[in-house]
Amino acid sequence: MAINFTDHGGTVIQFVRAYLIFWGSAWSNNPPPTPTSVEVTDSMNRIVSGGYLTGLAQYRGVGQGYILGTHTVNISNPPNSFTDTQVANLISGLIGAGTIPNLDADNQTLYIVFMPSGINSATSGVIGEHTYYTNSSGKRVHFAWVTNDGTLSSISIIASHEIAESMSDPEGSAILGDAGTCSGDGWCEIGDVCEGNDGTVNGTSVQSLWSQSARRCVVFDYPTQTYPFVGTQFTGTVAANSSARWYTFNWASWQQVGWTVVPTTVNSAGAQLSWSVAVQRTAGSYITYWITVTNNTSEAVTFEGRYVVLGRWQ
Amino acid sequence: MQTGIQFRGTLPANQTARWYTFNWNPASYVIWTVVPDSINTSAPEVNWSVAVQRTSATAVTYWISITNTTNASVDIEARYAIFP
Repeated sequence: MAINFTDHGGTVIQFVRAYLIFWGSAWSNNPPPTPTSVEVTDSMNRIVSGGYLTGLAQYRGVGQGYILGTHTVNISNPPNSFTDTQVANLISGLIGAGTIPNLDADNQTLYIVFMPSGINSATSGVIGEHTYYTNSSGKRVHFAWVTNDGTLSSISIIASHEIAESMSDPEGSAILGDAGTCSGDGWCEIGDVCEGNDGTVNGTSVQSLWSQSARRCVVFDYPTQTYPFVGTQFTGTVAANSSARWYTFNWASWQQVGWTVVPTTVNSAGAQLSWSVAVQRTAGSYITYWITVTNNTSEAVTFEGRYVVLGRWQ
Repeated sequence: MQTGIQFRGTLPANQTARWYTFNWNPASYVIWTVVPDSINTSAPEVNWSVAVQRTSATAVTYWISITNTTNASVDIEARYAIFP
């Protein structure tokens, strides 16, 4: 049967705030382990804020994010053959103690727990997973865990899979494969059908993900583009001594855009137009710009609304 | 061109706050933009203005005032672009 994914309308994480937890005293050893927690943190930053997650825009506008913080747990060690419940209890305990931040108001937080080398899941053969638990306030706390074979590339590949799936389907109710798409148990998600197909994005190893629009596994990255580039987005007319507002939508959130307004009606007497810009993030990947243009003269003025895309980062 | 995120913050509903960032090279052309990190599907969320201070012959401080135009708290990020 052909691979096909459908949006079932459940919760997604639009703009992830990833909180990294390094569980176990081994992360604080001297000399430090390979890889170190600093190296893993750098890799996660490259994943969540680089081009890798931009391809998720096709899934209800899901986009990038950032690393909210990190914490190393020295006072306990994960048991070998650990369970999801034990990971959930760790996170719940750290939140309850005020050691790590609680969920943000819009529940975009993803807690990611990194195991020390040599510690395995109770479920044989499973090297990473994401799921959630329900806290005492009835809110769902989304988390993932990642095992460690002692190489940064393995950790980052597993984590990239779990982060992307946590965003597109944090609760098993959003972007899911149709019946027959996956052969294994559990939620059938966009990373599951692309395992073993890896690449490098933003200087770190990642796993490819299913692109429903391309109908194949893709290592997502930024499109090739030379910056800056400019253009005229719209033209308009503002009546005498009044203001009007235009909006323009679905601008990539990872691009930095500036706006200017230039009259096309000639006037030799003085300043004609002024403008201001308001911004709205309609989804993780998309920005809407609202440009208010004010005509300071006693006659109608036509104008061009011009953009300059200054660049992107990471 | 060099671009990046200089700071992130949170603005309470319907409030304006000002951030400053210092020791920028006065010879550089720096453009500031602000983007919300909170999702809102119904209305514009923030606008901003920039003021500038020459603190010495070799340094500029930028003051960025950001206004939350919604009835809910909004997370923001302030982005810079430096033209060489």
